[in-house]
Amino acid sequence: MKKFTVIAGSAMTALVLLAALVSFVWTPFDPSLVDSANRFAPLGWPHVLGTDAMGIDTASRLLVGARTVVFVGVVSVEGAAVVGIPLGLFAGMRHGWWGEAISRAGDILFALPALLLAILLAAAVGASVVTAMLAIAIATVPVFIRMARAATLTVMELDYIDAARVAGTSEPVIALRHVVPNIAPLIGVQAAVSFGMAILAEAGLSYLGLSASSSTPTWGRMMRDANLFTAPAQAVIPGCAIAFAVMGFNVLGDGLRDYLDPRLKEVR
Amino acid sequence: MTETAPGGRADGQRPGEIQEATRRDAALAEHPLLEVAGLSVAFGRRRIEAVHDVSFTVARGQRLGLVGESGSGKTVTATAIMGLLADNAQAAGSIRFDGEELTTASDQELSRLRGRSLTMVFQEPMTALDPTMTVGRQTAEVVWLHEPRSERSEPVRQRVLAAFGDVGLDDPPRIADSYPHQLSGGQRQRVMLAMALINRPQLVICDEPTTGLDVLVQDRILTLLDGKLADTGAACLFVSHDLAVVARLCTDVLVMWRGRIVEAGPVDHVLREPRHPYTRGLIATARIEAVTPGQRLPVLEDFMTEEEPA
Amino acid sequence: MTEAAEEKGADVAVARRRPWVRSVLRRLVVFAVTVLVASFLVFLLVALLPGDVARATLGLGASDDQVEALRSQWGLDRPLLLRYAEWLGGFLTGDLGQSYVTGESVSSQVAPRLAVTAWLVGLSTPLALIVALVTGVIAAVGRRRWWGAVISGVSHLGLAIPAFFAATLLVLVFAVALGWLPATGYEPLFAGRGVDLAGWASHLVLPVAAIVIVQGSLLARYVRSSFIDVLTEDYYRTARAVGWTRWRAVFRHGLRNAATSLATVVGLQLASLLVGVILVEQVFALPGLGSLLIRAVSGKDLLVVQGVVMVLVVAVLLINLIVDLAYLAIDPRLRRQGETA
Repeated sequence: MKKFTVIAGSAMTALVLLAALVSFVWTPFDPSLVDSANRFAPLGWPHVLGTDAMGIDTASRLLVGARTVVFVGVVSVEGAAVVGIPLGLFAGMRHGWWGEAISRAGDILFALPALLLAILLAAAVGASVVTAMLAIAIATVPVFIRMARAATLTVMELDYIDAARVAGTSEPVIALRHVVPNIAPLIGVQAAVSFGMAILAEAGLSYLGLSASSSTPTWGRMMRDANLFTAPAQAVIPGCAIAFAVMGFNVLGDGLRDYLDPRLKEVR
Repeated sequence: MTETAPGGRADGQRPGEIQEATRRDAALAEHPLLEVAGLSVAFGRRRIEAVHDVSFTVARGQRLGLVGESGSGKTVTATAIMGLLADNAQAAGSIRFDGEELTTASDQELSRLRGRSLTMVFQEPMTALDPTMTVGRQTAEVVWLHEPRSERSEPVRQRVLAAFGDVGLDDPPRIADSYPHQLSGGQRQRVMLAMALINRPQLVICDEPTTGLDVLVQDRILTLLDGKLADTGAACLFVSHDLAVVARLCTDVLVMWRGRIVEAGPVDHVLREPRHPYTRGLIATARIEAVTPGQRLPVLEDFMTEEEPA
Repeated sequence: MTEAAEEKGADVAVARRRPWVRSVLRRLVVFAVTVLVASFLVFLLVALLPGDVARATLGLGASDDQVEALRSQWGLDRPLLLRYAEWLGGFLTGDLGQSYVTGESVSSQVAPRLAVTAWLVGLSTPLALIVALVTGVIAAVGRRRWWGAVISGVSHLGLAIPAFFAATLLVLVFAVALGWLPATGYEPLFAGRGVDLAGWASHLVLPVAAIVIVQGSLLARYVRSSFIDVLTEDYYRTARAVGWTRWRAVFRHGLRNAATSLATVVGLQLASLLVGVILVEQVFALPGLGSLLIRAVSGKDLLVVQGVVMVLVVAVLLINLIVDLAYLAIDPRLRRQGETA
């Protein structure tokens, strides 16, 4: 059962990744080809998922849209992890003023959701994929700080950390050699869950027109451009794609959590 | 006390006592208070058996000890009697309490018995009380649950304070207004005892009630329990890994090993002439004073080699 | 009883004083500091933009003199900290300044829209909580049965659906296909003299439902896991042992204990709720803070952006503070932490 969730989650996420990769070498149609004779084509052949208001093939746009999902997700989650985890480790190992300051700062940042941050950034420097990614990454940093700090605090209680200390091991070495391997499963779980959140956030920003420019197809923008009255399928299809991708990462995260460490009960 | 059978709290199995005859007649006239027959409990999808074909009875006012190491199935047996097994447990067999079959009873029917005529004292006094409510309120709830307002002769608060005084808690009003975290382990276990006894139950199941308390407090709680059981005439099923504790409190004992009952009888009998090697091991390992310094302490395995029941 | 005398710990005496006063003060101070830091960040982000507001407003053709004149007219040539202090002071007195773009008072734009957003949040939060409690508890109690698994699966689905997609689906079904409810727009509850309950409600049903679906699923998962925790606690077993039936024990002792962790989650989730509200407002073209914000961003109306973001952030922090204080009231253990901390 536990294995089943991991496999299901992996399969779903792999499918998204595959779609993104395939789009580089093949799409059914040119995803930027405007075909005004074929506007709002229904689902069928040759346009499997129909066409949008400009006659662009929806299936092709969907495939290319997966690129943005993977790109934004990878960059923002990795960025957040690279900044957040060392900060969390540090905050967890130092009990003093600095540790407290880092976790407090994380809490403050936590109150500022990714979308508001992205809106501020977009207002300041103009909306683009970069501002969207930056905002999502910044908003995800406190999540990693919290997770790494909490996990570190638990690991630091263990006896063998004391043993390492007594043996004269320096703090950074303890962190790298003993703490990081211990919290690695947690990082994996958190990364999967954060990936899902990042997809949601990017989709929301695209929907608001605050992410990639209109020439780049993204799932959120496809929903934004769809006309609910004339061609509802053009809104439902990318919406389902978003839900599928997010669910894939959530299921993977849940499965990993149960699989890697049964002691960690559902935290979310 | 009204429900105590004639003959006081003497058990129905001790041989050679004069009052025994009258006691036995009374016991035969009606069914035993608790009658467990062929009880088996299995867990999970793979049906791992924790208790296998266990049968015993508890007469009114009788005190029965249930001894075994952890994992022997003694706590599962006690929990099964209360009807509080986990969702993934399947129980087979029969448990009759006061003539009523419990294994087929609904949660509602069981809830009417639990806390009134059938109560339980748990192992962990530190976590067994709800941290968000005062202990007085939690105790009062036990009365509210089982007694309609019309039948109450005195305010529930009075009952609670009296019950707290009865179990030797100093300054009952202060204790009643305290939250669990403001009390010590010993105080909490006294509160648990008060909760278990406040409705004058017919059977109190104690699951290692003194484990986790320090030795002095342990001793006081046992003395208190002994006295309270005598006062109310309640029967008791005392679950413990400690033969010495059981010997002090109970008249009869069951020894459980790997989910089965391997030995049963009056405590002094079992202690004097243990038949099962596991029981012999239990007794020997409990007698540390019999070991001369320098000698290796006996372990259970020493006694298990000669005879290995299937 | 000498034992009881020994056990009469000092902690009881301490708990009888009023340590919660200190806990409350502590939280108030943290709140004030957080508001201060957050407001400075919001201010800084807009004030330090690479492009100059004045030049952006006047266009590329403007001379340096014209830009300089506008800057001093808006007070942009004065020190940053002074401007921050003024802005913060204005915020505290309800004055968010004049829009650089339209010249309108920002506060007068925010105020009517605040009502719409407040209705959305105020209606959907308790509803989402109720939905989450019911489904979460059922999923927790039935976690080893098929019905628990089904509910759990459905909440997984709700968790993956973005709020604006849920809103879109609702529009497609109830507005486009069935035609029962309007797809977009808003009618105020107090229009002119009368109270237009039907019109107001018909425009809010779908947006609130969209938020409730998404937030409800999210919270239901928390409810489920915190109730599962409670179900494995010893005090739950005690409650069952003294005669509470399964469901009454769950609500009697489960709810009280799950409430503490739920209160935190509701507070933390508020940020994501607001995001959902902004998106849902966009789907339904509701004249709330979210749509004002988006319009201001595309119109480069920075002061409006700054003002709305600040209002939203303070709202989040304020509700978190209230949740924190509620938390103190629920859990007696925390009241004591005041003087140990």
